[in-house]
Amino acid sequence: MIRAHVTGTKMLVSWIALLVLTFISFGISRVGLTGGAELAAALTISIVKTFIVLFIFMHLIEQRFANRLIVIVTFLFIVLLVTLTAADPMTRKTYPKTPDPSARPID
Amino acid sequence: MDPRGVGATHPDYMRAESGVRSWLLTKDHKRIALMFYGAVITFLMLGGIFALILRTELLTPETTIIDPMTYNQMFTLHGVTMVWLFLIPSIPAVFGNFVLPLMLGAKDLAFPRINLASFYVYVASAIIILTAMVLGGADTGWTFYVPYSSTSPTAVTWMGIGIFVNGVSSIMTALNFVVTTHTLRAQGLRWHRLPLFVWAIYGTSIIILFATPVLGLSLLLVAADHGLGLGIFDPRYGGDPVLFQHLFWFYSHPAVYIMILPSFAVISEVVCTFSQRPPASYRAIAYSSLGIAFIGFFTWGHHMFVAGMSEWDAGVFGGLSMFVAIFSAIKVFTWVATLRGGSIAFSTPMLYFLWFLFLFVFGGMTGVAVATQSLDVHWHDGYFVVAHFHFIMVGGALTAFLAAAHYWFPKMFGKLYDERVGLLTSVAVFIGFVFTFLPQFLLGNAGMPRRYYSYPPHFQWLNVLSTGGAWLLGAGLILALINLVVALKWGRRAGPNPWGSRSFEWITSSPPSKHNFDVTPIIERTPYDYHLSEEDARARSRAS
Ligand code: HEM
Ligand SMILES: [Cu+2]
Repeated sequence: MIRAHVTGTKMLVSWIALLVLTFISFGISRVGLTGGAELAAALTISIVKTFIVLFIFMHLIEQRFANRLIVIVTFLFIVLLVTLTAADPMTRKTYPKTPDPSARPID
Repeated sequence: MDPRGVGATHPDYMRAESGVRSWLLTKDHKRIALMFYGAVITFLMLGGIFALILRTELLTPETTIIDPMTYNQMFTLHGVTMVWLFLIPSIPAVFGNFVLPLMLGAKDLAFPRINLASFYVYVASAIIILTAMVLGGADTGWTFYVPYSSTSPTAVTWMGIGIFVNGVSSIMTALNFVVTTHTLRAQGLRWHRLPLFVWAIYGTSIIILFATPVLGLSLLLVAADHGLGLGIFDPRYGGDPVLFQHLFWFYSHPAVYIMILPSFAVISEVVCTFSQRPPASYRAIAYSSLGIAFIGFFTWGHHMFVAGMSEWDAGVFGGLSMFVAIFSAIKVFTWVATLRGGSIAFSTPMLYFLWFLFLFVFGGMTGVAVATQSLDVHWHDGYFVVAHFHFIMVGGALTAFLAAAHYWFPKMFGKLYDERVGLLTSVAVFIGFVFTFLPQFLLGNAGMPRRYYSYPPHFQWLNVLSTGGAWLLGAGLILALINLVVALKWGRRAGPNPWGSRSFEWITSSPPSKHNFDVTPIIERTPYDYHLSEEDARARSRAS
C-alpha cells in the first residue's frame, strides 16, 4: 500500500536540508555552548537528519506501519544506548574532587 | 502415500543437479546450508588448533612452545575465529538455513539470492580476517579495547574491516529469516503453530538486526583512530576510551544471545522429539526467547564495572543483568518439565541435551555471580570469567551444535550415523569439557589473570588438568566428525522420519527434493501433536 511518493524534487529538497543541517551542527561546535547544550543540539540535529534519510532516501514513507515499526523499535534501542551511555560520564565522580598535585606521577 | 515421504518422487536436492557450478551458483537454501556447514566446521577446527596451542603453552609456567608475542596474537585469533567465524553463523547459517524453510512448509527462503550472497560475503570476511592474520594478526584480544587497539602496531585495521564485513553477512541472513517467517508460512501455519526452533531463530535475527550495526560502527571508529588518528576514543582530543566499551558491549552482550538463542532453538526440538511429548508450555518457551532478546539489550554495562564507569550506571546494569536469568530459568524449567511422563529415548542428540542443560545452568549461574559488582571486582579479567563464558558458549552453543548435527543428519543426508560411536564421542566431549573449564574457575578465584603467558608454579597442576581436558575435548570432536563423515558414505538409509518426530520438516522425504515438497502443505495441527499417530499427523499436515 503506497501512501506517499518520493519524487525527485522531494529528494533534492531533503538533500539541501541535510547539507544545511550539517553546516548548522558545524557552526554550533564553533560557538562553544556550555553545559549539555552543545550535546543536546548535536543530538537533535542528527535525529532530524536520520529521519530525513530514513523516510525519504530509504523510502520508508511509502511503507505500511508494520514495516515502519521495526525502524521505530531500532530508534528506541538507539535512544536507550545513548541515554545509558551518557548517564555514565554525567554521573561519574572523581575523588578527591580536586586532585592533589603532589600525588601526580612524575613523568 | 509414498512411504519414503512427500516429495520422494523427485531426485533429492544433492542429486537434482550436478557439477561444481551447480553448487557455487545455487540458490537452494539446502545447498547453501551445506556450504556454510563446510566453512563453519573448517573454522571450528582452525580455532580449535589455536586453542590447543594456547593450552599447550600453558602446560608449564614458563615458555613451552611459543613466545609471548605469538601467544598474544594467537588468543586474539582464537577469539575472533571462534566468535565471528564459528559461533555466530554456526546454527543459524547451517541448520537455520536448512530446516527453517522446511518447517514453514516453504520452497525456499524469501530472498534466495541474498542467501547466496550472504555466503560469499561471509567467505570474503573470512579471507580478510585470514589476510590480517598473515599480515601479523592482532594482539588486542577479540574485544579490541582502546587505547591499546588504536596504538597497537599489529593489523588491527584489517581485522576490524574483516569483522565489519562478517557483520554484513549475518545481517543479510537475519533479514532473510525475518522476512521468510513473516511471509512464507504454509497455509494454516499460524504464529502459535510455529515450531519453537523458528521462534528462537526469529528472536536471534531481531538481535542481529539491532545490534550488529553498532559493532560495525565501533570497529570502523577504532580503525579510524588507528589509521588516521581521529582521536574519537582518545582523551587528548576530548574522546573517551570508556565510550568504546559502551559501544562494543552494546553489541557484544546481545551477541552472546545471538550465540545461545539458536542453541535454545535446537534444544527445544530435541527435547520434544526424544521424549515424544509436546513442550510443557509452548508459550513459555516461545515468548521467553523474545524476552531474552529484549532484556539482553539492557545489560551491557556489566562488562565495565571496573572500567571507570560511574557507580550509578554500574548499579543499574548490575540489577538489569539479573533479569535475564529469569527468562533463562523459565526455559530450563519448561524443558525439564517436558521430560516428565515422556517416553525418553537416550540417543546421541538427547545426551547432548543433558550436557547442554548442566553446562548452561552452571554457566548461567556463574553469570549471575559475576554480574554482582562486588564479586566481579575480584573476578574481573581473571580465569573465572574465562570459565564462565566458555561454559556458556562452548558448553551451551557447541553441545547444541553437536546435538543439531546429529539430530538433523538423517534429514540432511538421508543416512543414519552409528549410534554407539555417537554416544561415546558425546561422553568424551563432556568429560573433556569439564576437565578443561572446571579448573579455570578455581584458577580464577585463586587470582590467575586471563590473557597471561605465564603464572606462578603453584597454579600448574590446575593448568595441566585444563590442558589435558582440552586435548580430550579435541579428540572427542574429531571422532564425532569422523563418525558423521563415515555415515555419509556407509550409513544405513534413514526413512523420512527416523525419530518419529511430529515436526513439519520430517513430513518431506530425507533428503528433501530440490523444492522441498511436491505438494504445498496445508497445516492443521501444531508441530508437537504427539497424541496423534504418525499417520494422522501426516494427514493433517499435507494437501489432501
Ligand atoms: C546466555 C549466555 C551467555 C553467554 C554466551 C555469555 C558470554 C560471556 C562472555 C563471552 C563474556 C566475556 C567477555 C570478555 O571477553 O570480556 C562474559 C562475561 C560476563 N558475563 Fe556472560 N554470558 C552469558 C550469560 C550471562 C548472564 C545470564 C549474565 C548475568 C546475569 C552474565 C554476566 C556476565 C558478566 C558480568 C561478565 C563480565 C565478567 C567480567 O569481565 O568481569 N553472562 N559472558
Ligand atoms: Cu554480558
